[in-house]
Amino acid sequence: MSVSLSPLIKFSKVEVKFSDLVYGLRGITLDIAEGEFVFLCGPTGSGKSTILKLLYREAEHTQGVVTFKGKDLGEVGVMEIPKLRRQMGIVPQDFALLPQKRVWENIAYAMRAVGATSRQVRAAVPGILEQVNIAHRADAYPHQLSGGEQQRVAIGRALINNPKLLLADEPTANLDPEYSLEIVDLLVKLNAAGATVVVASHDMGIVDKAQKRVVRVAGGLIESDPGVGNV
Amino acid sequence: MFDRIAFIVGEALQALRRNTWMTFAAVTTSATALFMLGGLFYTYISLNRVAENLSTKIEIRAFIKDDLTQDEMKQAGEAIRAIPGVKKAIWISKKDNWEAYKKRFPKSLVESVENPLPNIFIVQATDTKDTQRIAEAIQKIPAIETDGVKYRNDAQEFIQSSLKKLRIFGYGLGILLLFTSGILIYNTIRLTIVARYREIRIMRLVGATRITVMLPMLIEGLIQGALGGIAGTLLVYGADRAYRNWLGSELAAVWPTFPLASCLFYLVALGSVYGFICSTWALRDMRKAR
Repeated sequence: MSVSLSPLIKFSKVEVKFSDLVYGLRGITLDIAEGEFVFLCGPTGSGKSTILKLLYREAEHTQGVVTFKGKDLGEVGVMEIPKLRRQMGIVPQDFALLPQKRVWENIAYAMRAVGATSRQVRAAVPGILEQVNIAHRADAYPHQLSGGEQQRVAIGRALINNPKLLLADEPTANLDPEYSLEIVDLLVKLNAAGATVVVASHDMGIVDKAQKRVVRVAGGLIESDPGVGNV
Repeated sequence: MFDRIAFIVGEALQALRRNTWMTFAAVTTSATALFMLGGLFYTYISLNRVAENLSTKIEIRAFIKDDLTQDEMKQAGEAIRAIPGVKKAIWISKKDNWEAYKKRFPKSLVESVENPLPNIFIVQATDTKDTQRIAEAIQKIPAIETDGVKYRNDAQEFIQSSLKKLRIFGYGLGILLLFTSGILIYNTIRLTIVARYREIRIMRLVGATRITVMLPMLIEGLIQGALGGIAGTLLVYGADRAYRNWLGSELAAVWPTFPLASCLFYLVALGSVYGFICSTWALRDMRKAR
């Protein structure tokens, strides 16, 4: 996947202050270009999840500017948040699958929630399951799946809006090493297919193997960043 | 569009099934509250109608002094009719009064007795509430015997005191129960939010609109209120049937027909609106959430 020079995501001196003494971010500046694969690495509480949350507006910055596709996210109103999120795929750390629904129903449910008709769901779900290599377990319930398979379903669900940006928060945190590699391979494949991927992770083994741009975050600051397009 | 409605309503029904006992508690309490409010409102109206009907049956009997001339009796009649609230005053002669009286007793008992009854006026009030005032005014007319005004005011007093009690007790209790059911509906919706935490989170992550996230829970509250309205109507209807049977005699005949359709309409509408308001209240945090 070729990387565009114009930034898809731009953080300019972004600060997130929770209270007088507690900061999420302390004035970070970061550009992510369209088509990039970026790892945000750092210990727990370093601010990597906050960076992701700012992008899908679950958190709000107190200073600086965050832009996505040139739009200042600080100006996105509460009513516009769903529209913003439909442009991204969000993979939460805990899979967040519905235990009483089968694999295909988990995808279908998310599609129905964003207004897809039954016909659209029937047409799209098999393709999504194929895309994340879980079609063979379509009728299984989440508890019948391995951790890696559950994460595949969660990634599949993030693809329902055909997003250009995929945000994954610790996607390998709850997985064995072999499943972790499998998930990173899948994310790399989705990146190669055109999606910009931003992954928050503290699993340095996986990060090193992936050979992608790594932004190190610590104490709410960016410790190191090779820059746009660099590994 | 149909797909969208089916999804939202399906979510609401699923939540109702999931919180069966809480739903049951909310519906039964709303039903009781609506039964109290609706039922007592209906009883109040019915008793008012009965009271209006009874006004023609509550008669004041005014006994006229024995030594009066026909003209003096005529003047007494005019004085009675001039009292505000008097519907009509009929003069019955001593002789007619005695003939009527004799028919109710064996001949052997009354045959040899000289007519002891006076001439009387039978007076009817336009409104039963005025009966006592009219009776007091009649007593002041000189042509009337001392302590010569009699009427049966127990039914009227019963109705008036019942109406008063209904107003205070019924509406007080009804409002209290409505408040309780509101809290139960609120709690049910809050429980739904907890029970559906995962679904709500998924919906938010994938970009579902706030209306899609919240509407199932608003519908859930509305359905609970509506079910309470239906159950409340059935309770009022059952109570009406039981009361009619208990009344049995002539009061049942003057008791108005139960307006099932309008009672159902008003209680279901009231319950639905109330359920919707309570669930909106319960969802107030979600409106601010991202």
